[in-house]
Amino acid sequence: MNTSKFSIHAEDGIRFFGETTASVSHEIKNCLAIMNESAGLLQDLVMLSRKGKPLDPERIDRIAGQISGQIKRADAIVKNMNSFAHSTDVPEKSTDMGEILSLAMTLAQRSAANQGVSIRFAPPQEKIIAVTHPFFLMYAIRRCLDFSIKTIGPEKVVEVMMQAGEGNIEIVFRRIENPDDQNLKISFCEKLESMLEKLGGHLLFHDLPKGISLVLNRTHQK
Amino acid sequence: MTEKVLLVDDEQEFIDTLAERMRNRGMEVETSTSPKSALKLVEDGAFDAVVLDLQMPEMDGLEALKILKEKRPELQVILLTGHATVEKGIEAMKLGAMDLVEKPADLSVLTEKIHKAQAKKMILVEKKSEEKIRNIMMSKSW
Repeated sequence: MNTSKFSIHAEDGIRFFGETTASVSHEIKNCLAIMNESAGLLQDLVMLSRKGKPLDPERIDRIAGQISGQIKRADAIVKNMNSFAHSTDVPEKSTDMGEILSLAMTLAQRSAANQGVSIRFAPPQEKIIAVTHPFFLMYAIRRCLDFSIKTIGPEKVVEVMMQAGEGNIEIVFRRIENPDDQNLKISFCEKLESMLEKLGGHLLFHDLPKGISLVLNRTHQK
Repeated sequence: MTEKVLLVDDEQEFIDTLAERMRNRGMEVETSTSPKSALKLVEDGAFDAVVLDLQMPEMDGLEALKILKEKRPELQVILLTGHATVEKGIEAMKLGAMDLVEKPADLSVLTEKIHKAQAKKMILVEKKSEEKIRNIMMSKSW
């Protein structure tokens, strides 16, 4: 890999890490904000009861349930964040590809929603295991999703699926309206070129139905 | 005087709970989880302040702020954010936001800002009325 390619790759990789962690921290803040208001409401009710308004046990129970619901939500967000952070631990490892795709989709959910796009993701029926670099794979998946969102059709839905074939694994992004926009296509391909080299993969652009595929060579091992 | 507030955030549990606490403090509160329906509510009602989330699925908070200020320049908008970057803060102020509050918000701080918003809005409305009267006076040859 030449220096300029490495520099694009490193800069965009760091940007991806930043985008993901920023989005996760926003989600955690939302959970904290709900917990904060719920705790405040409990204090309000106690204050009102001191002034003579009786406490309603059902109401207290509902607020407590709201708090524990948000704790569960925050815990799931932190677990995903932790898996994402650990994806940089080793250069390559035996990886559950469906799990990685599912994590990448979950982490991208908020960003897609902020752009008015929903992701329809169907996890693979069977476990697909391959040796890969989980972080770089998530980066490539995310950039494919970003490209799909930029070229989305009026329904504003991206369908994502994974299938294992003879010697390769294909991640398909469907329902794209205009994948032929040359400027977007060039910058997208340039951004991913060196990463795909590293992952042992390539991109496919489909016409009918319109979409893109990230194809990974299963036998690619370093 | 009771403050009339509109809360806009896509987190239903958050605005429901915050609205209840604000009502407990004597404020008149309406809520919306959608920026688009919030714009409609602003057209129909005279709010002293709009508390608006910066990041929402349907529409970016800054975009919503821009439209709100175009529709009702006297409207006081307080932006709520998970984590405000300096750039976003400056952009929000340039677009006419009254203030920016970080989540989780301290209700006493938010209440104080809403009081200020109401006072500021009243001054702007009074100024507008004075101007209107002055224009009428000038246009008549009494």
